[in-house]
Amino acid sequence: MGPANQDIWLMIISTFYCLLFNIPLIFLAMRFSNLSIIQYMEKIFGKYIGKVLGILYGLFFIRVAIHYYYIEIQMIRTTFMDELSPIIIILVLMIVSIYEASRGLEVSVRTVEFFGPIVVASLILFIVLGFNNIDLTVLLPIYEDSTLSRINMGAIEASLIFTDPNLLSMTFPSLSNKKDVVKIVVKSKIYSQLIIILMVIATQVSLGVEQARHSNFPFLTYVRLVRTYSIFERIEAAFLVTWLIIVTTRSVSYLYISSKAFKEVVNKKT
Amino acid sequence: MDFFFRDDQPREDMYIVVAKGCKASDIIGIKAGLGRAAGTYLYDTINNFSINGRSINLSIAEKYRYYYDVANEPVVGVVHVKEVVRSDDELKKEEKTAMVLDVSGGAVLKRERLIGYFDGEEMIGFNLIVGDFKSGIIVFRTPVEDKDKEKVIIGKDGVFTTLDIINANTKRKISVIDGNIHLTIDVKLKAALNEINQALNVIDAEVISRIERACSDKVKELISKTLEKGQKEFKQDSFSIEVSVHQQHPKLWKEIGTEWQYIFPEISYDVNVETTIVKIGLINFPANLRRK
Repeated sequence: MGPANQDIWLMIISTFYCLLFNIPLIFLAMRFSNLSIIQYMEKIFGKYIGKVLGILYGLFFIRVAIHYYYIEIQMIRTTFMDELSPIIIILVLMIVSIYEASRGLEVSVRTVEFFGPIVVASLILFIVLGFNNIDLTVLLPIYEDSTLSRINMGAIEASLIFTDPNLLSMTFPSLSNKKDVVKIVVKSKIYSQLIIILMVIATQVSLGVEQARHSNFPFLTYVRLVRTYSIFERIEAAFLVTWLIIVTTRSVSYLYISSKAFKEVVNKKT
Repeated sequence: MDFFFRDDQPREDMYIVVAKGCKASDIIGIKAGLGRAAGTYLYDTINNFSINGRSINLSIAEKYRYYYDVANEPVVGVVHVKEVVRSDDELKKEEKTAMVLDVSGGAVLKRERLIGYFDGEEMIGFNLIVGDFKSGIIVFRTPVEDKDKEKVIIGKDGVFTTLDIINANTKRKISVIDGNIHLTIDVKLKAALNEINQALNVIDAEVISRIERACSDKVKELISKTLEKGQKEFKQDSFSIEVSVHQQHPKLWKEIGTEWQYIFPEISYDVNVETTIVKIGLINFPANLRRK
């Protein structure tokens, strides 16, 4: 277990492990550049074990998508629409997601391309707007209450949560410039880690270490506290929209790759 | 408190105040001014009062930011009902006095139990100790060494000088001397001369430096009085001194953290205050006096 104290941001800074765990996937993707992970599993392990692994991968992807839906429903029902029946939320989310996933990879990727800058800019804006709640001394003392081994354990644990390389391993055959794969993975990891570190630090210095740990949605609590110049108040609805874009995009991507995985297992052509 | 955090409708930035000497319901009914809602009146009073340094506006989130620290005991805001004589002649005909809310002071808690209060002056000291003093006025006796040297003053002069603190910076240093913890509080104030009614020429640098010293002495007294009360009367660290010990001496903190409640009342301290008057206003001689 990692340190659950003011040094959490040090733990997240260790992007090294994330990159390390991606090496096998990148290597295999480069080796079988025209095949997805499901297809080259059959080449490596043979037809039957390959298909079993393909099914397991498909189930894993759909499990990740379901997990995102679950979090979405939790967030919507806990914070905004308390009395709305979850079945309605599920139906709306599923219809939108299935429609988008059914239109293929290009639609999902173009959606991300469109919303990406908006989402990043919004997150940075939310962080900046909460500046008057910040007490940076909460982060002190640095690296005094944790050990190197605990920080490393935490970093490994945190890096295992990132399942995004799977998206790349399924969509690699569609990548036009395959030589840039290392650059893509490293860049995406560094950018996403930077934003996560900013969010973690902002949340910790605003709520305090322990209060942030008590919260189910710490960054939402951080946004709820924003009260800047009597203009920017109660902006959590804007945050929810941003957050839903992020999570829906991810769940759609996982839904797409899970259906693609099952299609490839049964050799169904689209 | 769990409800206020768990439910999504109460907000984490709500202020916590203790109704002093009355029930909370007695406070809610009171409103003053032009037809404002009772809640808004209290909210505005807390917000406005905090700029004079005599109160504290602590939100739920701020309280719980440090709540989980081993030895930290918070001070929260206070509100009490005060009867004042109406100034409006028309309204005076109906009722001579009015009830208003006063939010000066602070309530000292020990694990959610009220154990005492700091008054308005002590809260100035408190806010300076914890580094939360944003602005406010300091009233002190005017140093009169140079008063009316040339015997040219006509008029009755007063006793006090008021400085408007426009910036305050507190630094807390923890040192260990012979195994005992020693706290040094360094406060730097930047102030504007708000009011003076003694016959002093405030253009004279010597006079200004005397005023600065007098203000520093007053602030030192306020801080010492508040710390003394915390140590001797409440016997607990309401000033987050433990956070400074943890941050500046993390290894020592690991040894003494759980015993801090017994150590705090015994720690020694010294207070250094440096006041700088950065503006004297539009006039140089007190408005209530004239020269022969």
